[in-house]
Amino acid sequence: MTFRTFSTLNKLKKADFALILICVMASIFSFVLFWEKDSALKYIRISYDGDVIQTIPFDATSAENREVYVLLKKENNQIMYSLSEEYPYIAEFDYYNIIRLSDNSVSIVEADCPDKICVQHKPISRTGESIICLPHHFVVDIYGNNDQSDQEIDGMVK
Amino acid sequence: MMRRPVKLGFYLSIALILAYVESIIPFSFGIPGIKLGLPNAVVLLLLYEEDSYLSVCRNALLVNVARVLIAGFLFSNLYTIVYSIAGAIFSFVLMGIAKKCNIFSIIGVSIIGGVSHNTAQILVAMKVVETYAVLYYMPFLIISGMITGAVLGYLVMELVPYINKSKSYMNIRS
Repeated sequence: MTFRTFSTLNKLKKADFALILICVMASIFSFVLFWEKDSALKYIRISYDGDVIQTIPFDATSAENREVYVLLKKENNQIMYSLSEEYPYIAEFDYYNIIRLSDNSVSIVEADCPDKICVQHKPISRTGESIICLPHHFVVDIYGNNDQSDQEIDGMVK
Repeated sequence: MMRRPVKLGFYLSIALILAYVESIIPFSFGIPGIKLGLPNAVVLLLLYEEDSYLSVCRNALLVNVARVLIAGFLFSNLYTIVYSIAGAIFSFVLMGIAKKCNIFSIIGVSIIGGVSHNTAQILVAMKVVETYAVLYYMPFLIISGMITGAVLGYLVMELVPYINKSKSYMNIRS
């Protein structure tokens, strides 16, 4: 068995190893480029087609186990949203996504999009993470607001 | 010699079965786009047939496009088709070029396919929802594309000699 494994490894060419190296480098590079530090102050941003329609403060440290549901719906070509403490009642809309904000995570719990990728997405809680619903053009992402203060501190250090 | 439509239909049905198998395996890390890409093994097999480069590419492209369309209608929906056809065609073009370069082994070509498929999907998602937020998942998608590509490439590398052998056997018989 070990002999067979070795014989396969011998078939690998130099360019393959270079390629693996490039992939690892590219992922590290994009990690450094796009990774954001988890900030203390966080906001949930809900946008449609690139336009922000709602931002909600998101405090991961709050002890109370509150749950807020955001109902995003499209009716007569108008995007509407509503916040409620209870699970929203779904009437006849063009389409809808229900976002659940609990004390330490954000997730989409229900949607009538055809692929349900947004519902299967893991709950997000870190700065920079996002859930997108491709069919509905919705993006829910978390952004931190201490970017500016960070830059100021950096500037002062320099 | 197997007739071309029969052969392509045979490969297409294998690709569809693999797509079905993939759709029922709960292989998900909660990040969209991370998947095994099993049907890509069939495309690789077709790409590494013993034939002229042009006809091999034509066969692989035909099966690839037909696979995405049929599997999309069978197991998912129109949105997923648009999403995955970009990945399928982009990765196919890069795999074709990589094979022509002749410096990569099958594993290398498969890694290129996996990584480029994920990259193309991210770019489509960025265009559709007009956000850069998805770039956050880029490193995970590159690494997962590399690993699944390497595993599939290994499988195909082991399979190719047997398939070419069985082909020559059939040629003698008929």
